[in-house]
Amino acid sequence: MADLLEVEDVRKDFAPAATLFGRRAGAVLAVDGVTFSIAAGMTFGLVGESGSGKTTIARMCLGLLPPTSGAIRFMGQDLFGTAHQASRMAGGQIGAIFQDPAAALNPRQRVRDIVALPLRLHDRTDRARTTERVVRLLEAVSLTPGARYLDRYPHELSGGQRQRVVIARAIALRPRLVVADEPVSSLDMSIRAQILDTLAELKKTHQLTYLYITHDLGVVRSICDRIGVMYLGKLVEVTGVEELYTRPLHPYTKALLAANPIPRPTQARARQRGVIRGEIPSPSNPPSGCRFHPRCPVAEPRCALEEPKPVNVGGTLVACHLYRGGRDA
Amino acid sequence: MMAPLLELRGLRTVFNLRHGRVRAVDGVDLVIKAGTIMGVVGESGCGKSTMAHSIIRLLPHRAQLVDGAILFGGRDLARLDPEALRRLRGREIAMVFQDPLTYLNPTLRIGTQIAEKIWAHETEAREDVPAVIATLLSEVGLPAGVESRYPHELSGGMRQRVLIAIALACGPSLIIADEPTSALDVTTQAQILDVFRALQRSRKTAFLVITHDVGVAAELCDEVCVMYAGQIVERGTVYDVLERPGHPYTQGLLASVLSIDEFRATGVTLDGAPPDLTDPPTGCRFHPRCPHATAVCVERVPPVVDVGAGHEVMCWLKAAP
Repeated sequence: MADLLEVEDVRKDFAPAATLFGRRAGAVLAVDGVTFSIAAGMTFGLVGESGSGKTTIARMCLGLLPPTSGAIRFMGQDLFGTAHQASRMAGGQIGAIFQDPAAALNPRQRVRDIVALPLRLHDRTDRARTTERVVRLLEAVSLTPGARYLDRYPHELSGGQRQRVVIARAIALRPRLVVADEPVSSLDMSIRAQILDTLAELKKTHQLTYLYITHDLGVVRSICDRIGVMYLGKLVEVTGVEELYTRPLHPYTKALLAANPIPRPTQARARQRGVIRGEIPSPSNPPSGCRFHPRCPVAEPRCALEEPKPVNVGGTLVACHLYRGGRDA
Repeated sequence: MMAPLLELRGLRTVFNLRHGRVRAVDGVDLVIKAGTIMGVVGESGCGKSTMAHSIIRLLPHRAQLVDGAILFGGRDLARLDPEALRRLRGREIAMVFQDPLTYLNPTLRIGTQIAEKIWAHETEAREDVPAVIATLLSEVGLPAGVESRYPHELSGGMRQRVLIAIALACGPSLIIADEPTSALDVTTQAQILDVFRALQRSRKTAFLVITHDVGVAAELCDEVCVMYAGQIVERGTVYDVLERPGHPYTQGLLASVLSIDEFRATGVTLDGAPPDLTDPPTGCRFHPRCPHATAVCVERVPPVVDVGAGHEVMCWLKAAP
């Protein structure tokens, strides 16, 4: 059986925009040859820092942005096969959760209208019972009793409650896949944990599959099954959640883990930090060869010349010259 | 025993809003020793930033410092006149903010912006300003030549280093850093934390670091305070507070942290949300969310109990019967 979502050699350029003075800035290659797939019922985490291309992938998987080349297949069908197909599928069977719930909700609509909108647009059979369904959806995301929230406006809710409304709307049409782009990044620690628990619960009750986009490796550990690590438009490592933390392979993955703060001071200060130099370069002018080579602590001369192809090392896909021929380092 | 550099006694700051008086900082006592890094940890709305801004009296006009003493270098900053405050800010106590782009002038070169800071505080003309700027830039790990660049030409991490260089320019003994790394990527954050550690060693500068990120506090701070609803509920060394938390709120907060080195079991660890500070809960402000709350917690404000070597917890559970 094919996987629920297949992303195959996807590339996305953003055309150079004409500037005020008529000069044209360089094209931005936001996503460059990314391949991964998600089996039904799994949570796939896409991790990377700003400018890595993870949000561009999320938007393409939602059907909001066509890839420049490559294919995205959802339930075996090309998401961008025919006109309007993308928006139709995304509207019904792919749900979306965004980072900033205040921006994702219309401030002039009540919760009942926000959550009912997808039902009205896509599911015309059951109009009479809309309110009842909205209440059930609100209760599924732990806004209980649901009836109490129906007539509230977004500004009357806390950040965590707003994000719950966004989640209720995302699952309204019982989607197969939910694309969640940094859904807890704008929330406080204690609220984060609550929302992640809700997402985990919904996965079970609604048989969901998640594409979970985040910059936070701590969040990944508590929700994902498989993880792709992105750097400057490239997928550098795809691995299982346990392997990521116990046996990271790519030097960038190792650097990311080393830079992540640990909340226990004794452990935090005992570990080898190995802070990497510099910052992510501009995607409009990426480095040659392996894009990580200018910051890589173990770069060799060929890393600047030749782009590493992904190889399978014991179930982990890694794009690094250290592992050429599939040998372990 | 190191002498206290800064001491807050019973600090109270309120916001006068149309719908009421928000008690943002409500009776905070705090001591920062010279050359140490103090962290203040808490969630949004707990009053940590308002507390930090109250120290140098940089408050929005709706906010008002209503009570308490801010003792620094033999003076009470709460009673200092505006001119003396202006001379003190930036020279003796400097600040670093979350979003460097907001605090840098987009039309001026970096070197000019650092020089402005020096000119603002020096009474005599100086010949050596370019040399001072070069030293400051190298201290924060920026390459030579950055002084002739504009803010938009720099990355987020470099801009934050510039803000730190400006803070350092007049050799302050205390730098208040409000969420200094929250807008940065983790690999950049690690670099900036290294800069703070290096400055603490080389210049013996003390830092007050405001952060929502327990991991940042664990990596960087010597001592930590946990704030909840305008009050400090727990304080002590970073090891005591983060490894042997005594307050139920600290325990819940730490249990909700999603860390890379540990799988967090599901099951909500801290229910509900912080209270509305126009009308805070009676007794212990955490009681509506506390799994151990009893009748006394609802009725009476808990005492601050020393549970060992300066590790203080404001909780009835720790009070002697």
